[in-house]
Amino acid sequence: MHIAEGFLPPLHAAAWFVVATPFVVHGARAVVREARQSPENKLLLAAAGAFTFVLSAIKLPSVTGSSSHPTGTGAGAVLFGPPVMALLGTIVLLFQALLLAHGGLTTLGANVFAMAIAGPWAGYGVWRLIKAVKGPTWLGVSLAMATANLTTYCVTSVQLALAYPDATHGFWGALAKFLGLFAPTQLPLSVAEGILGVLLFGFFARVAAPELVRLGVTREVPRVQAR
Amino acid sequence: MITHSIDDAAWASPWRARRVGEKVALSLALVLTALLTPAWPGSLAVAVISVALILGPARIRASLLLAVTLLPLGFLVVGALPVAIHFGTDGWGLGPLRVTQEGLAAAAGLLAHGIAGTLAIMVLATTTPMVDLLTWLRTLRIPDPILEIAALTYRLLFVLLSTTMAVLAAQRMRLGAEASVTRRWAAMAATTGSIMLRTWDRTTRLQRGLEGRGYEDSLRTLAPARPRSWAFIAMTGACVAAVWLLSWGLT
Repeated sequence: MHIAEGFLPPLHAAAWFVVATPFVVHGARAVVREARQSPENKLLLAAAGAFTFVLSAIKLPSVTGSSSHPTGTGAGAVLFGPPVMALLGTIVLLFQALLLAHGGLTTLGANVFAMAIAGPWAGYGVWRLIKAVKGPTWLGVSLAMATANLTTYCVTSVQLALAYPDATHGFWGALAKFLGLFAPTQLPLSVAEGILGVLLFGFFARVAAPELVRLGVTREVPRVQAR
Repeated sequence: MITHSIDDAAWASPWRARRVGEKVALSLALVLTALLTPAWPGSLAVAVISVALILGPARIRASLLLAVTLLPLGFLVVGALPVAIHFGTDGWGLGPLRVTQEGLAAAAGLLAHGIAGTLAIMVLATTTPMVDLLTWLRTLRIPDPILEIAALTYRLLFVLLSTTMAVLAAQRMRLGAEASVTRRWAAMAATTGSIMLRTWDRTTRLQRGLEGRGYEDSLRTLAPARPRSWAFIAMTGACVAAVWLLSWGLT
């Protein structure tokens, strides 16, 4: 769920750039540090970025007949941490704007904040919470993916409501409108992404855990491998 | 697929030979003009100029331009709906959901800004391959590792998109779309997992190949020499100035 080009007033667009920049710079420093440790990390992160982009080509089955696609930022936050996802998400959003005409350049700051910062941090927070209370990994992964998706949707609605308050009921009226309009697709999508997380990591646990080790992601395996 | 369409068009466009910085300046100037000038006549003028440049000197097919703008147009229409509608008793509508002339005007203005901005981005996207853009970004002193991750992401995503399309096509041929919802969920998880594993596998092989060629810390490539075009710069200035003058004159 991206805000399209030209949709935010100039001051709002600029303000979201200002808000998002420190997170992206922080993420860029983390990525540069990882890359200097080993060139393999660069390739792994590039693969994660490409995978996040390609996820949008995978349609989730829906009982309503419509279809949606996952964002993958929750899984990315669990695997690589939220700072890295801030930079990877920015790269992916820039590619989506220029290669898919999805999103925009003046709305990039707002979209980065919603999808690459707020979503991953919220998902990661839930993941850490579940781990802290010794919850099962599958539950942590699925809740992290669902929360990241849901947070992105809520933050985008807040951004639009701030830009276009309702003529009668102000910000809250506008927030109800935007949340209500996108809820029929975004709420099932959040649940769907959580279910995808359970099935996906079940798939890895069943057939591919040794491969993850062989492919050079040993550090991440203990954090994501389903029991 | 749109990703391939826009990128293929960028590689084939005669404007690929132009300096990337000049095209970035043109596109960004048009994007900002579309945002900052009134919808009428500013955004309309930016949209007309962008379409004329894309279909004219940049020689992009009209059918391609139409195909790549249909999806964002759909998002714009859906996004503009809540702006047109408000809670109240005035105007006309269903229950508390009302539409007024002011709301419709605001939504129409948003649509105009959005369409013009999207077309202005298309001026850059359909004439500049991502590889050229990433090479140009080095001049802005962005750290090498970040640009390399972006470049590797770009190269990998086409391989992955092809793999994804092949896997999905194979599933369709096996009547995967006709299966029960439970089976489709299981198949979709397996698809996603397989693609993720293939990604890591290809990445590992790419790493080994690069190491064999002495890759240590950066992947610098040479960019073709592109002469500065004062005519192009003048055209950019003239287009943007014309829109601003038109906007001031008519508002």
